Amino acid sequence: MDDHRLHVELGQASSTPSNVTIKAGSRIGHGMVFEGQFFTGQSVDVHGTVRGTLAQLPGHTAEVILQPGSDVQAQIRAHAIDLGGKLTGKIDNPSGLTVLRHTGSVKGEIRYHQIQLEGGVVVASLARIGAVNT
Amino acid sequence: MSTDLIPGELLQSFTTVVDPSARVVGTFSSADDSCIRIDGRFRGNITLGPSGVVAISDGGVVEDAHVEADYILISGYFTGTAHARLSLVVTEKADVRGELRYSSTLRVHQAARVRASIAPSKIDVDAALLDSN
Repeated sequence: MDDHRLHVELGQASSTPSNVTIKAGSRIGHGMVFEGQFFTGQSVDVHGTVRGTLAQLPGHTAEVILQPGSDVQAQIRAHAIDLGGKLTGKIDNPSGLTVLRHTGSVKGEIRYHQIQLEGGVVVASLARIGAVNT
Repeated sequence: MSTDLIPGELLQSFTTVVDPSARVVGTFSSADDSCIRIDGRFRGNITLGPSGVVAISDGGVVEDAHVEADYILISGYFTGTAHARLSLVVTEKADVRGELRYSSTLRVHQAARVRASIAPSKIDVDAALLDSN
């Protein structure tokens, strides 16, 4: 009988993103530091350092990928979020899947619709948002 | 895009890309040989290390910007200050307003729209004055 508690599957670490197909989009390369607000309608693949905001444009569904070694202090708002790097900040994903890889770490706040934890470090509050399946 | 004034291998792989749909406000900086290509809209500052390339593609829009790198290639819209420590290239589809500074080579296509002040790098000008004293 469903007791409405959160069920989180701790799956095997996967070598390729399970929910993310990296489309042609933006990239912040290793060694690059970006500070500011970055909005896209496609995707942003982060290998470097970010301070600020990574978000999808209104009316778009975008993907944000933090690669291993990336260092992000930001608010992230997107339909698909793949965390393989270090994030300090807030995740806001009311519609899609948020994945934390075993190489990733999150400190802060995660507001998610669907979440998949494959290991990694989570020091964050979790809150389910978006449409609730009944 | 290609030019003989910028090493071809640096134009082959851009480690940082702002995609055509992107709207970005802020600062990009790198101490190494990072290369950045702007296909979307950007407002802010870009400062790259040695061998760095800033390329604005013909769909790119860079506004109110201060850009500094060894190589700068402008094929799109640019307003602001562009300081190339080595070569600065403005191609035929470019629309440039502001200030262009370069230390080595400047090339502007005859069809490019340019309303800018153009000057050699300030550092080089000061060094030349010191040598003449």
